[in-house]
Amino acid sequence: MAMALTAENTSRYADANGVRVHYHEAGEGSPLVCVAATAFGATAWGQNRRNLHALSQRFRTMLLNLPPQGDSDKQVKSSEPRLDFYARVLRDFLDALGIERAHFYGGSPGAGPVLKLAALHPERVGRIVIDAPTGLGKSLFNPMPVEGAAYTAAFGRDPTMERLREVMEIQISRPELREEAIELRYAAAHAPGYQEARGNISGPMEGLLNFINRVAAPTLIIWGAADRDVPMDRALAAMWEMPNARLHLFGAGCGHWPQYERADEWNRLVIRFLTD
Amino acid sequence: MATQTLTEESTSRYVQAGDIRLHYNEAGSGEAVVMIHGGGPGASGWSNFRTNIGAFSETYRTMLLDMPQYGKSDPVVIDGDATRYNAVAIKAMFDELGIDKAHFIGNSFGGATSLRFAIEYPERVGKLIVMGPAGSGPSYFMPRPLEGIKALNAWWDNPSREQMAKIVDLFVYDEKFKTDELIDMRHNAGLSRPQHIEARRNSTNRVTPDFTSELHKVQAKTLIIWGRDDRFSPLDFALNMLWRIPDAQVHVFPECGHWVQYEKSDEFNRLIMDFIAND
Repeated sequence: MAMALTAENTSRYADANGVRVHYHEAGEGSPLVCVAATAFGATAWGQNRRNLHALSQRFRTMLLNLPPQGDSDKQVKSSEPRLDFYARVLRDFLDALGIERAHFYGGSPGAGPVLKLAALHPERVGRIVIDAPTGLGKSLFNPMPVEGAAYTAAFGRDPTMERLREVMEIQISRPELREEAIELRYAAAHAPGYQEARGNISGPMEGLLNFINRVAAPTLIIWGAADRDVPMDRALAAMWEMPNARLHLFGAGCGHWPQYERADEWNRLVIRFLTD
Repeated sequence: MATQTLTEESTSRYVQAGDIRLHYNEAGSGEAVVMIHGGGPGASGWSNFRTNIGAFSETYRTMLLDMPQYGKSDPVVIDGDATRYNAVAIKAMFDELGIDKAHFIGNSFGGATSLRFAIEYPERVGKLIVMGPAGSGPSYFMPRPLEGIKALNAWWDNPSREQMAKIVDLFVYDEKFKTDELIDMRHNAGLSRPQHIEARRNSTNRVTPDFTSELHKVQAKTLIIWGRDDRFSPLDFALNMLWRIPDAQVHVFPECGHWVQYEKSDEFNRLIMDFIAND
């Protein structure tokens, strides 16, 4: 009988050319690397724990924390362009595990690093799934900063449980799914050494529209239409800019966490796309 | 698993649906999946869905309907909203064949018909899949009529192969599909039944309905499909429908025009069969 997957029993560490990368792993087969958001208190387990079991039935699935998220490197500092730094960490991670090429998923700010890796090292990337990426420029319709982004910034300045609740009430519409997400994010935001390390990766952020027209890998863009954190019209911008991107929108009140709120359908959609 | 070779002839069927006779092509067994073609000269169930019936018929009783005024169905005169007329005819067909419920896959005007059926007879619909459907009133971004619709209207007024070549050029995205064979097939199919052209000309007060105020009544779980490069039905209609249909998703295919199930047939077949099979 298979053991249930937990954060602890899936936890692994890799040395990505001197940078410690904390990730979770389950399953066998073609490698799939899921890159978590780099938002304050976001972690790979927090973001994708409702996807790991299903994905691991078909793929060697790794949920990855870019430094300094999760238990990844709290020492490494970088002021080079941020996406270049993250893309290099991802490439070094693949090298450390002896992985020639992997499918990739990136959520929210985790999407930019995946796309940058694909632009710089296309031979290391198979198919790509991205969920509500940040960095796609100004909304055509939503005044900036959008509602959710303002709450997230407030939490970053004042990381109390009350501020976090305000963020998560915007992001996750179903209350029964919200509590565990809040607990995990609060714990991660207050993990030893985390807040001090937040300024380590400080380089300028490149807009994704600068380069995603060079990402030829087959891509699936997923978005919840009711996303109050990253405006959904940016999905269309990404779709038009990329050479081979199809777009899937979830309606029915789905916001910023389709991989979490619509996990069963999301898992099937992603697995089917990656095995096409 | 060997796929049987399906031909138009081997799958051809007729059914009496109330006062009119409808033609359809059928293969496979199991839950019923009906596929409803779009408007445009030469359109029919087989011509629209011939690259899909093979895959679907391995799992489903797959039925490619010819709407009234099209294919080998009767050339009736239809006034006003053809989606209402079509929905009544489909219900009569279901009653005649003892079909309790079916999944619907509707292309363009066939998508509008499918929406009308789903609104009027929700208990007869399983899942609903619509590709570039008509029926959302004005686009927010593309002036009407869209260039593809203008090209179609020009053929109806004055049929010519040259005009059909223009239609095909706008219809599909990939150059490899813009073949003489396709142009000839659609042009000749359009001309082959002059009684259908006559019936269409006699159908006065033809309206394309605007479903916007009724979409909230669609109970079926719905997948709204669009080709990114559709020049016949505007992409922003997908968002209009997504926000109004209670349980809906959108899927847009890149480098794809107004005939998604043909231009992206493998990916389409797998996506839709997965959507139908799972909740």
